[in-house]
Amino acid sequence: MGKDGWSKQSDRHLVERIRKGERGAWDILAERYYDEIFRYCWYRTGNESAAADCTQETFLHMIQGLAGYADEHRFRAWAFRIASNVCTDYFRRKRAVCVGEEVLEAQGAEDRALGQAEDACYVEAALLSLTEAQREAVILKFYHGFKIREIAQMLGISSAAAKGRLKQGMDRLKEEMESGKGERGN
Amino acid sequence: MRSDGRERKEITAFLSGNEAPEPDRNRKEADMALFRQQLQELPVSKDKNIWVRLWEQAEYVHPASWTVQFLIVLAGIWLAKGFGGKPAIMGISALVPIFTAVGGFEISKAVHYGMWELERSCKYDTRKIAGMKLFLFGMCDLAALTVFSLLIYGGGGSFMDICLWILVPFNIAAGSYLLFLERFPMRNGNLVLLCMGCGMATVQVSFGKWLETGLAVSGMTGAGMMLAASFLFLACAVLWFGRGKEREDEILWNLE
Repeated sequence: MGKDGWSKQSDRHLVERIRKGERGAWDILAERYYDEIFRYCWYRTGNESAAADCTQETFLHMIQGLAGYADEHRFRAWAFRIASNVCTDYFRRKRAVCVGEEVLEAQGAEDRALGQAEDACYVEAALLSLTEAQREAVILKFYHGFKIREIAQMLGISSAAAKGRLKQGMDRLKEEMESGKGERGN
Repeated sequence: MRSDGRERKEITAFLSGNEAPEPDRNRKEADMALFRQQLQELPVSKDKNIWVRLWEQAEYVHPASWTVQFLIVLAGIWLAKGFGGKPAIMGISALVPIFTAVGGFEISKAVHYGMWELERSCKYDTRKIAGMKLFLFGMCDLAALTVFSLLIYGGGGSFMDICLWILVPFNIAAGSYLLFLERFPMRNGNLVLLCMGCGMATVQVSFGKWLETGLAVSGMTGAGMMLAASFLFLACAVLWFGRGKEREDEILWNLE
């Protein structure tokens, strides 16, 4: 089948075709999700170069996982779950480097994110002020339109926990918005 | 609720001011080439033959299930040879729901809470597994029903006897088990299935005589209609059971 025919097929069919040996179907899947995964990684890391690295790593993990992948109905959620884990690993590695080099500001990713935010734009700063867990839930909900249930499945937590993270993130963002308004007013 | 919605709108509007950049084209092309290369090195597993898959599933069925089913068939043969006539027919008929229940034990494993998560984490599709088990035990049931029917026919029974005492009880029992498993996927369902089987066997033996008298009046048309209705019931139950396996959303599969 030509790529034109494949491009109209569902993720499920494309995954089935790849598993049957039609590797050309992969290009369509990768093209379909590359930009979206990149944007997700960018929102998570706040850094273009790190986002590109995380995107590459996400797709490499996806290729490795394709042979055993069974959740054919939710390829998008599966891809985001991998991306989420890759971004979390990125932060872990970054933290480990900080500790290894005995950098003074190694008080955790949250503080560092706040520090980085000083130079970043207003919205980005607000996003970076959230904890990693809250930011992840907010990004998946507001930038990628996932439902609470899907976010919970992706992050491997209960729906109630996902809802809690989202609520805390939203409350924090609101505080940031209000303080921003106040500062602008002054 | 309304303020929650407004809050969401405000946050959406706020966040829309932070649009992510497009990925670098050169980097994207280089990545795509890398992915293709990685994919070439990936061993792609070809689809297995249905019989190979069935054999794999059969290996997971507990040997006790096969043994008990075999013993029930032997009991049917013993009844046919030892008693003959109507008592043998009724005895064999009473064995049908119990024989079917044993298959239900294995099928129920796919719907017990916890098994779902386990099978998913092992990268299998529960719906396919349940379907293969149904097919596997369907074939066993068919073989056993053929033996029972031959025993009844050999003992002087009629086609109506086979319909009334073998096929109709089987269809009703199998359909009821599937509906039960789909509606109440409980951990200790095996005992309930066994009780259901014994209950149905008792009802058959107790009220079968009345039914037979009624059917003797209506003749083959009545038996045919009853058989058709029981097949329809079983078909609906299988479809409902199969469709139920798509309800992945209802159960969270994290292990926290």
